Amino acid sequence: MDITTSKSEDYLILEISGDLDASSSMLLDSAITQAIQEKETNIIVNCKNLSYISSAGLGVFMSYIQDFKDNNIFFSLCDLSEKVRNVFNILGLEKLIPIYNSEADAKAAKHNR
Amino acid sequence: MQKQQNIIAKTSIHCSLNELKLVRTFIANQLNQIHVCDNDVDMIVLSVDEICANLIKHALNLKPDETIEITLIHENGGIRVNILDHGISFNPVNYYEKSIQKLIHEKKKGGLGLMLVNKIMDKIDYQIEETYNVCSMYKRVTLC
Repeated sequence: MDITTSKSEDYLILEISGDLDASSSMLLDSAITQAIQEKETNIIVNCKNLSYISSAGLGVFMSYIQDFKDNNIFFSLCDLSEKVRNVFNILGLEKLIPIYNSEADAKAAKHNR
Repeated sequence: MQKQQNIIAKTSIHCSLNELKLVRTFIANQLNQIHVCDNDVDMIVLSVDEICANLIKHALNLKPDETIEITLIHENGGIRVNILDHGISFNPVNYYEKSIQKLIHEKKKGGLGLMLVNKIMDKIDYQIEETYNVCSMYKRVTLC
């Protein structure tokens, strides 16, 4: 799995590609920790090139939900394949982590908040 | 009713998280060959990944000499996966699941793997013997 970080307007974009499993989830964990430490307040994880996710990946996202609330951080995922989105849906995590069809939709949702 | 069983394939992996990708590819290839529908393939691959990841991290403590043996069986219109290890016994059937809300509150990263497996698979059994453990999971599948 690879993570590419970039800035777009006021948003930190984390683009993840490949397989997010127990062998790679610490990379994502480090990237999100770093974003919080650097006081990013708008974070979008673009998953268009994410081909697989297991509970290790879900767990990383889940473990920050409380921090995002406590620090008023806008955090969302976008552009998930149907296969990856299904894994979120199994446990109902799509109701706890905002998921949008595109980066533009995620930014619009933040703008309209 | 008599069980109709047909072993599809067997493999064994070393106790390393880097082997998970190999397991996923192996399971997917085997199930694709017998025309299991994509969604069922994805779900079985995920379940096997979850059980193997748990064994590698917890039961076998990432010891590189340890191995995990995986057997795929076509059984009565479904797929059975038997996963054998020689590590510390753990019975997921008796595993106490915390609620997702509790895990979020405690900022936990773990605890979702067996939740997924329990939701996906129709049946999961665990056999603990003197020198080995077998996790046996079954899921009805649709062929495409």
